[in-house]
Parts: sequence; structure tokens; C-alpha cells
Amino acid sequence: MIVADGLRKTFVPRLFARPVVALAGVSVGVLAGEVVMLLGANGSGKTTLLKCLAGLVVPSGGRATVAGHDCAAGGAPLRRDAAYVPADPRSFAWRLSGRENLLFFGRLHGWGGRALRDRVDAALAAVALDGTRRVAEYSSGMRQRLSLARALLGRPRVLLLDEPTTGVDPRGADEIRALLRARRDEGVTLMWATHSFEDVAAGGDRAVVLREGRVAYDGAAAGARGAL
Amino acid sequence: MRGVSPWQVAWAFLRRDAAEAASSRLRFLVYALGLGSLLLTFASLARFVGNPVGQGGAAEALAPTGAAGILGFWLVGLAVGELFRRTATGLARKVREAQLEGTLEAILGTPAPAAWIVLSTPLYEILAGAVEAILLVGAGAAFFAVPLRPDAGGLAAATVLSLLAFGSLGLLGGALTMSLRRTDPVTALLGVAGVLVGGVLFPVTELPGVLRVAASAFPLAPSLDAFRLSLFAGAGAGALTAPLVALAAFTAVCGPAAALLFAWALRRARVQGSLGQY
Repeated sequence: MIVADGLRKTFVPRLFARPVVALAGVSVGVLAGEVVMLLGANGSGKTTLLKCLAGLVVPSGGRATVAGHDCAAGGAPLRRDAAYVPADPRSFAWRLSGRENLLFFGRLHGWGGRALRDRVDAALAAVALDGTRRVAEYSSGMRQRLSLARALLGRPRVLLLDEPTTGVDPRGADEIRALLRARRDEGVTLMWATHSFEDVAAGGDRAVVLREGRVAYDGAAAGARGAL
Repeated sequence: MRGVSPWQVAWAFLRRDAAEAASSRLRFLVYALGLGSLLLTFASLARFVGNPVGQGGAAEALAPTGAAGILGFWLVGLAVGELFRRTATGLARKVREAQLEGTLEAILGTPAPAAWIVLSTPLYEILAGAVEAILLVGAGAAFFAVPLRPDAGGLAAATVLSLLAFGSLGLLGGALTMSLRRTDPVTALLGVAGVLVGGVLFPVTELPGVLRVAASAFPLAPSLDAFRLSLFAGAGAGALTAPLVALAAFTAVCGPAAALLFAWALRRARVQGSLGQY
């Protein structure tokens, strides 16, 4: 379902600045329905890898496909099949309610009328969130759940999650883990970046550890701690 | 599977931004008070300076305003100047806002084409600018007896060509904002240019030589000529050849260049992964 083959990404922060190598040839494969935990220190390349797979960043070299779609092309079919959940929970219009925000994102999927309202209601129900309150009044955990609801709107086959439990209290984090396990049980493929071993224990059987833009470990989740 | 149309994307942004604007009644109140104060200030100023038509070099430039006098001249200047500001800087400001709020990357993760998304972000701003322009001129006519003799054809032609010309500058500003991740150089430059060489508060014929040349290369002055003539002198599109041709020429030169630069900046931002950065 996810294939990265020698994926490389080098950023040039500004003109004449030294290039920063974020990914130095990452090769990883994820089967349909599999949950792969993505681990690594800050700056190891986790977010860049997820953004490349989501088609938000064009790789400098190598090749990646998600659900058969070329990630470098980053077209609409890729963004229908794969949803990226950013680590930044600010990514909403804070003066609007959670429901109004989801209606906006749903319209950007091309839906309208009853079909749109049904999808939004289903997504809110899936994350057990009250959509009538303004996002400004949400807690961090609620905003993370709203991010997940947004990702679930299009019923994607692949979820690319960037630290979805970071900054969330233990109870909220447990709720998010339960939500993601439910998606896994539905057959959704998950690539889940995290710093938390509680996430690893709750999430996947398999873990990939990145170090300085390279795969340092790819194997059983239980063995990932030693590779960090 | 059916793609997302530009209309659906535009509608999504208009609905969201209208809902956001409506979420604060205080903002509406402050906005209405600001507009009222502006109108009163210029009405008082017009009474103070009198009508300078017939005095020196301003006579020819102010003649089209006829009985509307200096207040009519200013009101159209302020109204169209605001439409210009919102259209020419709206894209840059909204892209920057979305970068700072962190919404741009999330929005670009949807199946809607990136170009439609970025182009739709300033639509509400432009619409609000148009409504403000109508309110300002309408209030001038209703409360300060500014006489209007509008020609629908002339106004339509002036509106369409002005929006295209201003929008070309907007695209350019949007491209620069995406590349530089800063809005202030673009908005400051256009703001200063609008006041100085736009013909908002005084006719551009009053400018010294070099600035007069700059004014002729800037779309606000011909746009104001077209609006003033069609609003106060009832000039139809046929009678507005000079300003309409100037606007069309500006769009023909600046539009394609801005579109190319914009496409390049969008592609570059994706390669650099900088669209969501701030």
C-alpha cells in the first residue's frame, strides 16, 4: 500500500544557505491494513517522509507510491486515498465551530448538501466530538480529534499521522489510540509517527526508526527501543 | 471519480470566510463606524476646501465629477482605492495568514487543485471590498447629496477590467509571498503606490514628471478615471476608450507574467515544502 524506494529530500532553507538533508535514501514498504510506527529523534526525517508520502513535499530523488499513486505527482487521487494528519493542531479556523470547519474541508472534497452533512456527522461521531463548539474553546485533545475527523471525512485507505498524541493528556491520548485501533480494524493502513512508546505498544506490530534521514531499524515494534 | 470544480472551491472559501466574518458582531459594528467616520471626515474636508474645479491644473481632471465636486472625486477614489487594496494585496495577505494559522497545508491536503485553492483564498476580501465601495459611494449620494449619473455598461466594463488588472498585481503579490514568506514588502509597496500615484485623493496630473510616468504604468489611475466618468458623467464603455485600453494593456502584460510567476512559486513551494512554513 505504501512503497518508498530510496527516497531523498534535501531542503535549501534560503538562497546560498547550506542544504539540509532530511531524507538520505529511505526505503520502506507497508502492506494494506498494516500499522507501522515511525520513530526517531527530532529532525530525523519523520515529518518530511510523511509529507512526501502525502504529496505535500516533492522528493529530491527516489520514488514513492501510496495506494498506487505517485507521490511526487501529488494529484487529487492520492489526496483522496491518503490523508495526512499534521502535528500542528492550529490548522483550523478558530472562530468557527468544529462542524463548520469540517463542512469547509468537505466542500474542498467536492461534496455538498445532504452527502456533505452526512459525512461530517459520521466523522464527528467516529471521534466522539461535539461539533457545535468553537474550535477556540476546544482542548488540545479535542483539536487533535478534530484533525482526525477531518482526515476521516474522505474515508481514506491510508492515514499518515504526525504525532497525533503529542500535547494531549493521558486520557485524551488513550482515546486517540483507541480511535486509531478502530481504523486499523476497519482495514485502514496507518503510518504513525510518534515519540511515545505507549503509542508503539498500542499501535503497531512493526516499527521503523529513522536516524539522520536513513532507516536505522525496520522490524518488530518490541525491538525499536534499542534502535533509538 | 469526479474532480473538484473551481466553483466548488470558490464557494467553500466564500462560505467559510463569510461565516468567520459573521461570527463577530463587534467587528461589524467597528467596521460600520469606521466607514461612517471616513465619510464624515471627507464630507467635512470637502466643505472646508470648497470645490476647486476651475482652479489651476486640477480643473481638467476634476471636470468629470461635475456637480459631485471634490467630495465625489474623493469618495470614488477611496471606494475604488479600497477595492484595489483588497484585490491587489488580498491573495498575499490571505496566503500569509493561512501559513501563520497552519491551515494552508491542511487545505492543500484535500483533493481540490492547489491553484484553485490559492486563487480562491482572497475572494471574500474582494467581494467585501466591492460591497464597501458601493456602500461608500451610495452613502455619499444618500446623505451628502453627491449626484450620480451612472452608466451601467461603463460601470460594468470598468469593474471587469479593473478587477482583472488589480488581480494581476494580486497574483504577483501572492507569488512573492509564497517565495519570500513575507507579505509586508508587497502590501507596503502597493499601499504607498496606491496613495501616491493612484489618483485616489488628487488627480495624477498634479504629480511631478517622473511620478506622472509611474502613475500611467499603474492600473489604479485609469480605473479611477473610468469609474468617475461612468458614475458622474454617465459615460458608457464607448466613451471610456482611453482608461479601458490602459487597463486591458496592463492586464495583457502583467497578467500572463504574474500567472507564470505564480505557477513557478507554487511549484517551488511544493519542492521546498515551504507552503506550510511561517
